[in-house]
Amino acid sequence: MAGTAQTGRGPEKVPWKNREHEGLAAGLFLLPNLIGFLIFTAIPVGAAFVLAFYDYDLLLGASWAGLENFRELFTVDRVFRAALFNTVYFTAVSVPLSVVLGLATAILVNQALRGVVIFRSIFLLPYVTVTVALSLVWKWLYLPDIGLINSVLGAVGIDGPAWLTSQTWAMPALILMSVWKGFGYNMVIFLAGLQGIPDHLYDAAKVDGATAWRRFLNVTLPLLSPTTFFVVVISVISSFQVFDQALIMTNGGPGTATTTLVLYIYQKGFQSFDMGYAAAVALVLFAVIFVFTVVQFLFQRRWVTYE
Amino acid sequence: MSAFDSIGAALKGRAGVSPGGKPYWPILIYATLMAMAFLTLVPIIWMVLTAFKSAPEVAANPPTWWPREWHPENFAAAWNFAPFGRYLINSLVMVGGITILQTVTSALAAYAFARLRFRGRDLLFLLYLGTLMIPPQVTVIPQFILIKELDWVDTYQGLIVPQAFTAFGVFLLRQFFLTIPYELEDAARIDGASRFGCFWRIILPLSGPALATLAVFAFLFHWNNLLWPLIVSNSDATIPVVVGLRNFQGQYGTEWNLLMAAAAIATIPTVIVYLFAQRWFVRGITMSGFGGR
Amino acid sequence: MNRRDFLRMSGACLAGVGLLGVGACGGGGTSGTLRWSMWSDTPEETRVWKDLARDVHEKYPDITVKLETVTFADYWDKLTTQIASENEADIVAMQSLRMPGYAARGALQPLMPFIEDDSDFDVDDFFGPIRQGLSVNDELYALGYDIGPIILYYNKDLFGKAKVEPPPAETPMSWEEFREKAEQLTNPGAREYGFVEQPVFDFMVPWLWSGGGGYMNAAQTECTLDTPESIGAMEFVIGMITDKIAAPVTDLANPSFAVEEFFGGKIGMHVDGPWQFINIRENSDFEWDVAPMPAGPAGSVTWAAGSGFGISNTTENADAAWTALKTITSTESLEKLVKAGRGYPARESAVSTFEKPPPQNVDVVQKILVSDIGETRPFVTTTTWQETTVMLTRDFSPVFLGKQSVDAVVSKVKPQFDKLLKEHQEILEQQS
Repeated sequence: MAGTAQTGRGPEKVPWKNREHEGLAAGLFLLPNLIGFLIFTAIPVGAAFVLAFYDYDLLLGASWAGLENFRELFTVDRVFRAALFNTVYFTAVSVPLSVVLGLATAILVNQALRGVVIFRSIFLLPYVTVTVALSLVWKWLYLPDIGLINSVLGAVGIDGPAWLTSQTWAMPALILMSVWKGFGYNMVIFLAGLQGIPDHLYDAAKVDGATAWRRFLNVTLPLLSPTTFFVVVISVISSFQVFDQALIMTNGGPGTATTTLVLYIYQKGFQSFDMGYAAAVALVLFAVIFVFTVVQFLFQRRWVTYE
Repeated sequence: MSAFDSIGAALKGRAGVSPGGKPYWPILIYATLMAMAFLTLVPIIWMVLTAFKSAPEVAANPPTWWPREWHPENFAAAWNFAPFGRYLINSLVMVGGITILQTVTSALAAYAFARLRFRGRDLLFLLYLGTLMIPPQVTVIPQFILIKELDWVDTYQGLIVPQAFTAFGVFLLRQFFLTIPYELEDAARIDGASRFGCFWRIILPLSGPALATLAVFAFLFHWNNLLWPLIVSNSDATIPVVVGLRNFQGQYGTEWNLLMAAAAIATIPTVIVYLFAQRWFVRGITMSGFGGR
Repeated sequence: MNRRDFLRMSGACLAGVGLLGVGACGGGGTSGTLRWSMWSDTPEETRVWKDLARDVHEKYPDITVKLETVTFADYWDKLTTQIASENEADIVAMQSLRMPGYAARGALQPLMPFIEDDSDFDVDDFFGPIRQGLSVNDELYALGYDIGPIILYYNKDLFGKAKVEPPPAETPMSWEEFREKAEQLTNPGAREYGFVEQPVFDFMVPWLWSGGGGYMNAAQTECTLDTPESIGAMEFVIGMITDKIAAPVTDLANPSFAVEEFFGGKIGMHVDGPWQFINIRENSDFEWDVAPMPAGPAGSVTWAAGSGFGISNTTENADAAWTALKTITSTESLEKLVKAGRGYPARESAVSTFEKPPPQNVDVVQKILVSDIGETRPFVTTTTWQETTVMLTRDFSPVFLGKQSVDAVVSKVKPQFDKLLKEHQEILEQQS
């Protein structure tokens, strides 16, 4: 039992009576969620897909535009290109940071220590606190001369940049704030995953003389892999959709330095009333995320072990 | 070393993995945790301190850390700024409804995806996953048109139902169900249990942490989610706290001290929920017995 | 369910939902129940509006007005969604800045037919600039409730401390005098600056006009930011920032950045509208006053903008809505608004109620508004103004940060502005 890691589909191995039963059972289990999902999620998403091929000025009406939106997107829209770059940049840096930080923290707070519950709550506070309020505080932290961060840097002799108004440093500033805000979320999920690893595996490893690090590599990581996979996929999906911080802290500036794809979609859809174009950008965003996710799914066969 | 031993011993608690190894591990871990907690809390503490300041002091340049004078009446002022009592109830109903609906239906569906074999299963799951990749800014208008056709504008059901069927819950629970060994259900099946019996008696009890995680996340996310309630709620009868908080950001300027006070107040229910749900995160029963604690 | 079935089903649903703008007629209220959407940021404001709604009911017992408010920031997202799904209120609040965009897209109906039918309604009591501001193509779409010209605020305490003569109340000072005073007030060591400019294009316009330039021509077909006068005006303002006489811009996402700096007490002068009176009173602990915009080569020219209420195109109670609208924007109603202190009234007859000091020079505001001092023009925007603003904000930010020259930015901005003006003209043609 312990240690027999199997990948792939379990049900084939078990002899069920016949397939029909399965279909009916599946239907009953799926139905409650599926109905709601199709009506309230899938259809609006489908509508958004369709809109991308229309010239839909929200209030003036729609007319078929074919691939015109996409042509404009890819050939002349320099803001789109910047947004795409910014979003990939943001994701590529913030996801590894917040996943690793989340895992490390989860391991720390999973230790049997007094008062560890308090720490678990503390680390989740940034996530549960309203973004608007936190964004203001972080703006103060980032102020060029008088902000706390530059004051501390100054104390050790580093001349801190004008974070939120600097072309180079605005995005790193956003990344830092986002990682701070989000790592607690990952920690909670990892914690649930860690809790699911049976003690006896650790005991067996200890008996075999494995060090803490070896135990981590050979017991924790493999058994945590479905959870890790989930955390990474969800983090990538949500990082690609970063919006609130970009809007509130820098409004996409300076210039296009922190304009992310979803911020651009918002600007196009709600401020320029060009919903068709916004849907086209959303479609491109979807395609990018989809590719990333499929790649991760394919890789999972290599490193994710389902017991 | 004995001083370390005793401190280390004193720090040991009950829930979780034993730090084992060297006696100074507990101290090291504690120190690291405290440092991290401090860094994590700095912005939040500043937020709370700002809630106690007067309006001119908040605008002071350079910003102050410790309030020059304390104005605890800001909290009362923030509370009275808008009918927050009602907003709180609305938030609880809305978020509670979404959480329950999502957790229940997602658990059932996730079981189907994780355990049952049927035509189109993987494709359907991919569809579910795909919907997570479209940002809400473009789906909000089609969804609102749907709501309007159903006459659900400015109603609780309009706030709850469209938000309860995102793919997040199904994804999370499916991943978790996949980690539960088949042997458990095999045994039950051989004894003649039905599919639903397996689900109810075996999978669910083992899923404590995952269900709690989903419920907590659904709660936390929807407590602070602005876009949908903003569009659907028109009257005080349905406006949740998150929309009410926006009242502090005026056309001509923001009442930062009141906003911070209100934000602090709004955070309390979420912290309570999380602390409460903590109990479910404690190690569930494992297949091969207990850890001896 | 396989892929084919799914697609078929979603197609059917989409068509059924009538996504592309054809909604079913929602059940309108019983005759006389009207929905009124307005933004409100404080309980006091909401109270005032609710008061006015009640007044309508008292005067006309079979009309009931239900008020729906959200904060200003969210109002536009919500309004856009409502209009797209044909769910907007009967009486809709609108800003003059955004009027062309929404009016051209059919959000409101023209009011002239109502005005002409109504013999005891005097539309001329409303100040010219607000009537113009709330009209598109000479068609009036809303009745104003407030109006404000951009004026100069100054910190009396700072002027006193530096022993500098404050700006005169009735005569606009010249740009040279303005710059000189700002220099004398600037004290980098104490982080005091003579001036602060909000890094938003709207607040550049009075300078553009006073400098003899502008942002678009009268026909609204071409961007005029590249004329020597326009560039000169922009360089004057930006020069103050780069010469460190004006406070450095540290926040690009805060619409109140400049006024909040002013609250802090370390800024000598700031340009803004009379709507800030109530905020500055609350948030500052220094003496302050107002004066006209400084006069550039073309004089002291400023813009006035305001807000009002219109009747939606999809209302089922147009006559009831008109009656309610008249009442809400009547002189008595506006006087109530003025007493609440937020805005300068859009009707001349309500001005006398406008609260007294601070600022001491409050009378100056009306004189500026009617162009007795300097010149006030309505802030004319286009049907594509939202997108224009977003573009201008984005591309001008390096200039406000002192990272790019005005010339370089204007050459980048002009083609985009021209393109948006072209789209604007196309929309106008579609409408006529």
